[in-house]
Amino acid sequence: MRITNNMLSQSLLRNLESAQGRMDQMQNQLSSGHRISRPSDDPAGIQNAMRLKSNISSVEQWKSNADAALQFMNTTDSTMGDMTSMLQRVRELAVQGANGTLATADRGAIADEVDQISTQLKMMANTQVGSKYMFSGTATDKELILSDGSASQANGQDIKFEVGNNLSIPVSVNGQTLFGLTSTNTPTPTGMLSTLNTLSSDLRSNDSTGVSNLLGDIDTTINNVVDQRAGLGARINRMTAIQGQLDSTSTNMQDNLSSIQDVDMAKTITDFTSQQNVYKAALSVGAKIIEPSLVDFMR
Amino acid sequence: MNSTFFGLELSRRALESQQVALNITGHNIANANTQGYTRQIANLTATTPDSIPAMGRNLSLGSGVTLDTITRARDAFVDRQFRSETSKQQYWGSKQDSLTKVESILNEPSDNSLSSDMNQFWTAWSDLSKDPENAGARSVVSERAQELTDSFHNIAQQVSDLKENVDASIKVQITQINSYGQQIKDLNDQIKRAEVAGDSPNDLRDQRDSLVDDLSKIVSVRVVETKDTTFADRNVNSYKVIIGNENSTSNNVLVDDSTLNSLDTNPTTDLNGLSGIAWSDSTPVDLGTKLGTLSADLETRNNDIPDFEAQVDALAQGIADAVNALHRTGQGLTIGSGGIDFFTDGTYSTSTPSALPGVTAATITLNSAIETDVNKIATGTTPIDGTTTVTAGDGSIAQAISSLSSGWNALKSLSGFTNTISASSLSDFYAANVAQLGVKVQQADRMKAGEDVLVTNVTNQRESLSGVSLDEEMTNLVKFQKSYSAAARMVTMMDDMLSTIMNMGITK
Repeated sequence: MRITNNMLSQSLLRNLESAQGRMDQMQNQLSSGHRISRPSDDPAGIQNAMRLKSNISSVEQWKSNADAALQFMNTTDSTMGDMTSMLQRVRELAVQGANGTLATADRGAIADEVDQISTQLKMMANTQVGSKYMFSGTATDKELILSDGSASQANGQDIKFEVGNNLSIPVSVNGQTLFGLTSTNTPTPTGMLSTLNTLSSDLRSNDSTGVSNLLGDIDTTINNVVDQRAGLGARINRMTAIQGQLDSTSTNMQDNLSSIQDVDMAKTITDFTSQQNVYKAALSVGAKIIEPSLVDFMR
Repeated sequence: MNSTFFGLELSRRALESQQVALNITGHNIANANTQGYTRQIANLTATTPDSIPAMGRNLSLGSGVTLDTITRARDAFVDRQFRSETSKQQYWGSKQDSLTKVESILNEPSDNSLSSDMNQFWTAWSDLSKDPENAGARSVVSERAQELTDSFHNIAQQVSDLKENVDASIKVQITQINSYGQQIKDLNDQIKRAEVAGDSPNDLRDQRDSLVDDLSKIVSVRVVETKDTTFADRNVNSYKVIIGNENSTSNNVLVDDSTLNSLDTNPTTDLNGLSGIAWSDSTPVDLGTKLGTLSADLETRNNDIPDFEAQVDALAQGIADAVNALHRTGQGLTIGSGGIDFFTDGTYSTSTPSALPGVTAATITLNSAIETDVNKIATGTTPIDGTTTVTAGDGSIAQAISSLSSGWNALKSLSGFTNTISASSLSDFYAANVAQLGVKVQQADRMKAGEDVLVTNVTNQRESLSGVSLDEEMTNLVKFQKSYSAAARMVTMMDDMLSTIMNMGITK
């Protein structure tokens, strides 16, 4: 083949350009850390990467939902723990009050304590997590028990948090069941608070038989709270397990995403260095080839 | 017996011929870097010999040299290959260019892309489902929805701009084809005049070939050069340039010798208000497939961009349909705020049409009623009596909407809803479209790279044949110069010889 000067210079230029192009590409990969910077770099990879990114964003959201759910449930749990110990104190007081030898004034003092516990329980029924009344079902803007002791504007619907694909877990405890309220609005207190009211008035009226008859009701109330708390505890366990799962799922997905879209630094840096050498070699060879022709050797 | 001065004449011819050959070498050196220049060759031939009688027979005595022709080192077959590969290379180059632009408009994968806007939109709903009574979470949903619609509008706007750019470029190319045709026609006239006069106008032919090379970037070109039979004794050619599909039955001749058949520069517009391609007599042009930038631009404008627009529109519609269908079943914090659409086509706010609104990427808008009052975002199910109390903490609708990020389960319970998106989720649908675009760009990249190699090969072949090698020219220079010196020496020698003859009769 006949070789002309143009051919030499053009092919040198082309080789330099392509070496530079590869260097540019690798430099982009190295500085961004991503192997895929546009869909055409790896169409199949980008589809996976986008699906993973969308999944990761969901999982991260579920994680934050699970955190919020646990916060909600732990607050509920500790409130219910306080309730249990308060009701146990009520039972102690009732046993004390049922003692026929007790003086009227002593019964009055016991009744005062029962009343205080009753007020305290009423406050607990309206505990808020953030701006939510936590025992009011989905009517989170309404108190479970109004100040006059009547119930209830709330409902028994579960507050559910989404913590997985089509997986919503109830985080709330049904306040109506917990406090033994009837679901319709009633002017007089029912359930737990009504038991305490009766206890208080029986104590004040020195009705020790009435007080001892109430012990069974108090036990039922305590058992109800303990049962509800046990149910909540089971859900807290489940939520903690889900949180752990979501953590490891998120880590796995991040790993997968990284293996799809991230650049293999060691390999790319090595490639880059060898490409640089190729480029330098092309330059120095070019400098030698382009310059001389027969013209340089003629007088 | 031949003439005494025969040797002088012979030397003169040699001097003259070597001088012309030297000039041609100079011309080659001068044009070593000229685009489209073809190396010229001095074809020296021996002149007709004299017949001299010698001892009862005739001998042919060489009578010297003359310059027969000056020809171009050019191969029509390589030209044809070069133009055909150029058309293909330019087709893929132009395709790659436009598709890469679409790819950049999408800006995937990055944190400022439609996919990240979509993800943020779904997570905002999930956040809202936890705290439906929280005005902050409501505002976030509203903001994310506006970011999402802004992204859609941006993509729609940029793609439509791109389409207009491509259309403008098509018009420019039509004008270019006409201009090349006109110049080729003019050169045909000049070349023919020279040829009729017995000349072979090499540099004009170079110019014409160069024009055809340029033309082959825009459309596929075929050149037919035939001998003009009107001139039996001279070498006169007719030059015809055919563009477009070679196998087409329609008449695709752009230039036939001295007639120019130009393209319609202001062609009738098609349904979308875009220009088509036709000859000036309105017959359509068959451009062939995958050849030249014009065909690539037409395909981009008529198929690739509309396809892409349709996909983005389908995504916008899919999101609006799914969100609206669920949103309509719920209600916000204000009594009676149920049943409205979340996304609209921008033409209504509180009144709700019975059918889900038809939206496109350009028209999808957050319901302005929601934009002004975020409490109208439906988060919970509508209470049974429909008018009285609103359950503030019910996040079931918000949850259903956020679950659209991973599939269609939330929509299964809705009667009368037909899902128009054929993918496992909206993000999957979008990802599949992005991947499809990626495949197209990748194909264009690879085809372009492949054609680049072929064009390089053909260019090398052509350059190898037609290009100027300085080494070779310098060698020729020495060769012709030495021949010239030798011929001059011959004249000196003849002069000596003649002096000898002249001085023969002179006595001192």
